[in-house]
Amino acid sequence: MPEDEAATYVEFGRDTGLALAGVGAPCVSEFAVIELAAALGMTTGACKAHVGKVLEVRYRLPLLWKRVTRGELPFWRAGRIAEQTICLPQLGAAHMDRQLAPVAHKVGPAQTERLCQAALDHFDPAQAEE
Amino acid sequence: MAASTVEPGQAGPNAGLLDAVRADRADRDAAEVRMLRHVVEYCVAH
Repeated sequence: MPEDEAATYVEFGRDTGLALAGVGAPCVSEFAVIELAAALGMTTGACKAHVGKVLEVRYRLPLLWKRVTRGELPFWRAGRIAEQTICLPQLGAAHMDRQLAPVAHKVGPAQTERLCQAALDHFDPAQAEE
Repeated sequence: MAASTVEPGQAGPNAGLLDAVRADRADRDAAEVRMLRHVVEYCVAH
């Protein structure tokens, strides 16, 4: 692949990192994702999506993360919410975290999507219009 | 064939198996949380 078409570029022998989760979550080296995918028995694409959700919950949805680590909430539910919040600005994600953490064990995807759209309209109206 | 009936709250003949299933599930959930923490640590280190 030509260097200018790559998602990341290599600098001083290391790639610059992929933003797999929303703003505020750390970027991850593409090489690390490839190694992790092999360790988890996933395709690289599936691993990127998984890591994106894990980092989204850990760094941008801390109340949900707390419930997951306490064993109160299965990760698949938190991950399903994370899929929706990745596109939100930090304030929007924090808002969603506060709204959904207490009810995350029973909230459905349609309700999450509605709340997420409302958060996008409120916290990033320019992107919501696109 | 007559179905065996167990009153709610009473320990049935398979109560031990159900306890084993619960324990397996608790182990699996704990392992998932450990793995999530390890994934985060690995990603942050890279």
